Amino acid sequence: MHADDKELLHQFQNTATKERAFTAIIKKYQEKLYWHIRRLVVDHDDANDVLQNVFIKVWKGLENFREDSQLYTWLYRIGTNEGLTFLEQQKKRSTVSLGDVEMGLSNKIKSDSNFDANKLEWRLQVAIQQLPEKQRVVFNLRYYDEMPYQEMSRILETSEGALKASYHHAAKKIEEFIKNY
Amino acid sequence: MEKRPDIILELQEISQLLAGISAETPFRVPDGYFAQFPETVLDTIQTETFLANASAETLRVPLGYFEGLSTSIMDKITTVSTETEVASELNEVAPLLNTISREEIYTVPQGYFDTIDFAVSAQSEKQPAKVITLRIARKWMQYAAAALVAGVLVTGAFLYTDNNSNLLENEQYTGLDAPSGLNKVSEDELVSYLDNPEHITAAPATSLLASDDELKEVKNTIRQLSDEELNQYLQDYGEPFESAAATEKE
Repeated sequence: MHADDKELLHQFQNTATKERAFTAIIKKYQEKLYWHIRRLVVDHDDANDVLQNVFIKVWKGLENFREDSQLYTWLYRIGTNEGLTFLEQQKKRSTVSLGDVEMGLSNKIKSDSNFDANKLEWRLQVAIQQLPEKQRVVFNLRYYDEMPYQEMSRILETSEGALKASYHHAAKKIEEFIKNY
Repeated sequence: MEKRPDIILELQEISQLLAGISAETPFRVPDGYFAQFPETVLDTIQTETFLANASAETLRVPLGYFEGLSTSIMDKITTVSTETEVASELNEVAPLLNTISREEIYTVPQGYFDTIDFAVSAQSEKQPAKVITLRIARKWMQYAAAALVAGVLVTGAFLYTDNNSNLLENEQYTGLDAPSGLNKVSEDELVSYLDNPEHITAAPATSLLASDDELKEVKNTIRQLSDEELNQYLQDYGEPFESAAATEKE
């Protein structure tokens, strides 16, 4: 664990410094977690709701957090689970299939005021939404967050080999999609 | 944003196209969002904590509330339905009475109802009263009463009859001690005698009385008599009935 994370956790255990330490933890990880979640749920308001839920769960569970694992890894695991749970709930509410939800996410991207179909960055986002959920998470963590497979393996509880294969398949699908878009 | 060399190398092996695309996400975030976010989260946490504590402190139910809930609801339903029935009945009969409170105005000594059970049970522990059955005595009394009535009727019939046709019959009863004679008769014989209604029918009273015509004739005769004649009659016939009857018989 990073030395500053360890210090923040110690401060969190102290009632007098608890809120200050927690604010520091939020400030340190909020942007990374926000973008991780935003790429999954696309909409800012949805990402904001999910991110707040993530940090509320962190507040409740941080006292029992085991210091033998990375705080960063733990936060990403909660963020990923919350993001996927949100998509699952949307699927149940709209009583449509996951494919329809993905189509909905693609449409959300296209309805963004800054959307530009000629820019590869936007076409890449649309292409990512065509991937299965787990592959989408793997691709985002590797492509955008540049996360090592070892760390990703702890978050997703999947073997590194399986993650490498998943990333490979995802990249190929995206390339194919962009070429044909 | 520059990609890490190992990431670029890996991507180049998979897809040259992807390796050349910027890793920057094209989405935008509202201005000042990340600056405000920690405060927003802490506010939410404090509100949630406050609500959780408030609900834990204020929304409590008394101990055993749910155990007796169904009974108290059923009691309430029964009371309400009875009250409604009584009130609607009274509304038809005397509506004014419905406006008067049914609250008790009488008072009882303090703790009265707490001790009333004890007082009743203490009384019930006393010796029970002796129970005497009246069945045998009542039967005996019935027979005795029947015998007495029969005796009175028979004696009366002997004493008050002045019918000449009965004199010969009366003669055979002279010197008869009816009560002592009845005492010699067994109870069974009395019962069988009384069971026959013919035996207890009294002799017709008409035989002892004069007819209406005879009475009128006597009355007229008495009216025509003077006081001297009446006095003379009384001197001549003023002896007791039995003696006169005996004299007449002689």
